[in-house]
Amino acid sequence: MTLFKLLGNKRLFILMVGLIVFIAIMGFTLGARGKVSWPEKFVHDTVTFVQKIFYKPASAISGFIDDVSKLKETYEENERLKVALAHYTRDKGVYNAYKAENERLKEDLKFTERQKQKSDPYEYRIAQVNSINVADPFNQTINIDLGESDGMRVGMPVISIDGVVGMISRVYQFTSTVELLTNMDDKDPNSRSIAVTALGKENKSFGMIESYDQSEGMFLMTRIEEDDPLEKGDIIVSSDLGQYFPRGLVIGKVKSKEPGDFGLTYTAKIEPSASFENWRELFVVVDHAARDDEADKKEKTP
Amino acid sequence: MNRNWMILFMFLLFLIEGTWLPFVIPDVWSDRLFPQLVFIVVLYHAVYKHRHTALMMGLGFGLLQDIVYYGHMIGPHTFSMGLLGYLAGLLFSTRNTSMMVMMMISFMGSFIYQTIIFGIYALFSVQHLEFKDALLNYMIPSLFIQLLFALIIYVPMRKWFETAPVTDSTEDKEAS
Repeated sequence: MTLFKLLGNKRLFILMVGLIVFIAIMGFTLGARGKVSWPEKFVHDTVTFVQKIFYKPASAISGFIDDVSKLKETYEENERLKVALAHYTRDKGVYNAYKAENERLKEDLKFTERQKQKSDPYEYRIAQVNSINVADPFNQTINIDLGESDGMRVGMPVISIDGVVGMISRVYQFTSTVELLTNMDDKDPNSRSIAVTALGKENKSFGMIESYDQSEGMFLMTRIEEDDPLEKGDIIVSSDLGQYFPRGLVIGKVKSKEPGDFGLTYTAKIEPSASFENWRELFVVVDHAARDDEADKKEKTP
Repeated sequence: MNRNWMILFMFLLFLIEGTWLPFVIPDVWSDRLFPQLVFIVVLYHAVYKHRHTALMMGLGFGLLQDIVYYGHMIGPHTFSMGLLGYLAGLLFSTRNTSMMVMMMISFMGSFIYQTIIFGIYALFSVQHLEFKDALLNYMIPSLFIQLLFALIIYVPMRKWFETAPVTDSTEDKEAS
């Protein structure tokens, strides 16, 4: 009763109305929306632009300190990279031969344009980080400086040099918001899952990554068939059987594999290869379909 | 004039929160610490200025936070910052609140803030953590950061509010 006395009739009424309005707003803006409205675009673009000015020097200083402290490791890394480079030059000859053969065979088998495009290499667009959300544990997002005018779309994968870090979740005019993979939750109806396979076992192995275990820091890969050759230590890459991801983006390493909840399928724990901290530059993966659309648009509007 | 400087200060704080703090927080703690520094300033407004100012500031900066980091939905931060700013002003609006009480308000306020955010996300089935886990995983570590920040800005804030004209006459009329 004291609460009523303290708040008073008028205040209580306003509180109730406020509560209803806020629940309506939250429900309305929840999950996938077509396009964000222009006031949101305006506020988001201006604020992230200012944030970019703040972010750049901080990132540069942190990068410098990092580099100095890792100077010793650089020598070792250089040695390793030299060996890797030698391997690459050797493999490139083999690769070129296979590629030429593959193209010739496709020509012979009369592949349609669409089928040919499927194996096209995708394009990487370099993006700078503008800001990171540190205030909300359940909504881990970062803002990047590529937006609708750069051809960004909702659902495009975003990677760092180590592996996949997230997906574009909202697109604004000049910036966009990336939802990190650490946000994935299989019970959330708006969360997207990724179809994955193991590197080197692309035709035999398949599973879905649907959730991230916050306490262990691992992805859960589910729906693995019983006769799947997947084992500990395999590198997990995205598969083009899914809806959003092109094939071959590195996601993580298998840590363990055990029978799933119902015993019909297996579940594996995947250690992410990307570290979700210390953001420098990121790459947005643009696949061929989006690229074609963009080209069409440019032709139509000279 | 004074209020404009205050808004600018809070906006700068908001920018720093999203751009410099990620580099300051150690990597190991990055999934444990979730500071909401702007909210502390809103609480200071509620206690030393007026609850209506705190309400407006809370709604404004909460909305900014929601729009700039729009992930799941718009609203949770706006709602909880505005509501808690107003309630704190309603309960503790004596102008000579001591430091200990202010620290307690920041601590409890931040705790309730995080709980409301947790609850809203649970209601819309965006997260499915157990409250006990959330409490141990990130809430308690974050609360200490909030407390530390409240302690740091205590003296400058008190000075700021003492030089400022205490309350607008319109606000006084509304309060009575």
